[in-house]
Amino acid sequence: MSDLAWVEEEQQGRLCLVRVHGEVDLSNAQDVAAAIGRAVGQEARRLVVDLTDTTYLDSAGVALLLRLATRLQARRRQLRLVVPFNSPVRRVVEFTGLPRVIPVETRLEDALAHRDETLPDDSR
Amino acid sequence: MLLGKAKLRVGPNREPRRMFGTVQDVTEGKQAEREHRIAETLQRSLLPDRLPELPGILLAARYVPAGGDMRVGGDWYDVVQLPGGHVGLAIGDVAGHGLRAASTMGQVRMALRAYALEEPSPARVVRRLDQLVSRLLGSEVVTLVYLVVDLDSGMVQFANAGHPPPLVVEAGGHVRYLEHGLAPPLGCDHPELPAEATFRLTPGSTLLLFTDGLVERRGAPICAGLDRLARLAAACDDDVDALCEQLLRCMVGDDVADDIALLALRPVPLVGSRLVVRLPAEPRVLAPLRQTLRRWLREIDAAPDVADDLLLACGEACANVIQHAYGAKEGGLEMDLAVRDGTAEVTVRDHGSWRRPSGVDGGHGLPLLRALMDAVKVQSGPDGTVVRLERRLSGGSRA
Repeated sequence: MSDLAWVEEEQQGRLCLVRVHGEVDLSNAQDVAAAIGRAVGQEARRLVVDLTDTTYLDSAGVALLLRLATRLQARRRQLRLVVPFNSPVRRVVEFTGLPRVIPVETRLEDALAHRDETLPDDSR
Repeated sequence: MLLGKAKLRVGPNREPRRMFGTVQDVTEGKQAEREHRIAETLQRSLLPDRLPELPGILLAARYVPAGGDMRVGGDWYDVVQLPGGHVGLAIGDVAGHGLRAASTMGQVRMALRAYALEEPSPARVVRRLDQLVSRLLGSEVVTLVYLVVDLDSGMVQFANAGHPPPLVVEAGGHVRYLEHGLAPPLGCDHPELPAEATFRLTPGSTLLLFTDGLVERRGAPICAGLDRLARLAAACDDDVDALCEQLLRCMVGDDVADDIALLALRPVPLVGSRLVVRLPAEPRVLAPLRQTLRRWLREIDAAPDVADDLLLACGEACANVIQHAYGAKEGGLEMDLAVRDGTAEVTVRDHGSWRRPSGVDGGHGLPLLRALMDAVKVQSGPDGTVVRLERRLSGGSRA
């Protein structure tokens, strides 16, 4: 991936946590999408994308999150985003209406704790 | 190889009187000349063929090989674009001359690039280079100064392995050498982490890196050369390219005894006048553009939320040009920044033809710009599209 951004993954049973660090724009959105795709294993039922350490996100980055949401929905997997209140990407997330499509939490703990009962989430 | 020369002496009536002849074995000389040529070609091929384009930053470099004899050496410079909008500057000198020095130089330069991408700390980069030179390249001695410049804040971190100190020429003409952050030359296998020093490079100041060939004269102490360089640099108020030219002309002239490398960097003051940035319309320019914008926003004293909004809006406007203005053709984009009556005015211009008459991506682009800015105007014509953005610098958040 480019030097601008990198992703860090953590698997906790059926939960996959992906942290996106750095800046996501038109030049690397596809690479970031591919890296998130690789991080999500077959077994994962829930994916949390943490944007706490994302310092820039443009509409190409928003589009990548929307595509990811569509794909996961078709496969009956849950997706939640973490965007803290004071995050520099907060406004792009709000102004593009992203929270209407993907649930957004301000704290990582809330995103990790949340479970959607309507989706299969056997074990944890 | 033999070289023959003959001279004929004639009398008053042009009758031959006497002939002198010499035959000389010039094998060694020819070989030396050949090696000099190879070393020079090798060295030039190992230097960067062009400097990166960094908006809002002036960069210039020179390499001058020594004339005549076997003095082609191992001087080099490099500019490396690092993660997070930082840029690494290096200048160095491998002791000795000829092919061996030039090839060592090439290896050290590539190793520095690799380490620089991994290690944010100049001292750690220098330490790893010291280990490399000590253990793998044998008995070579290499001097080097390596600096990491944060283009956004102007903070510079550096470590110096036995190299002449970098010179800073401030906008007002005040000059100083950066004499801190000193460590022994590479190749000493120094057990400790080298010292590291920090300073702030203010807009309009020039950072000048050079090798000893610029300041050393036979029979004169090196400090005399350093003093002379500081005086000349302080008196020159030209751009960095002209500065390099003038320093070479005044310090060295035509008699180049040792090879010389010279690298100058100056962050242009962004505030005050109108700033115009012209770049190719390619995705890779977005990150350096943001770097320039962040610096400008800092210099115009924009509040953090206003700065974030402007950064995003400008990024979107430029990304739109990159995606839609030119199709498969190459093209440029131009960004124009100004502050008028407490309002930031940004104009993004292209010379392409958009697939949509609106000129801006029908997806998130235009609504996002309108949400972020106080005013957005889009004008499309046969010569391209102009997007004009305005945002008041005070008055709180628009959300």
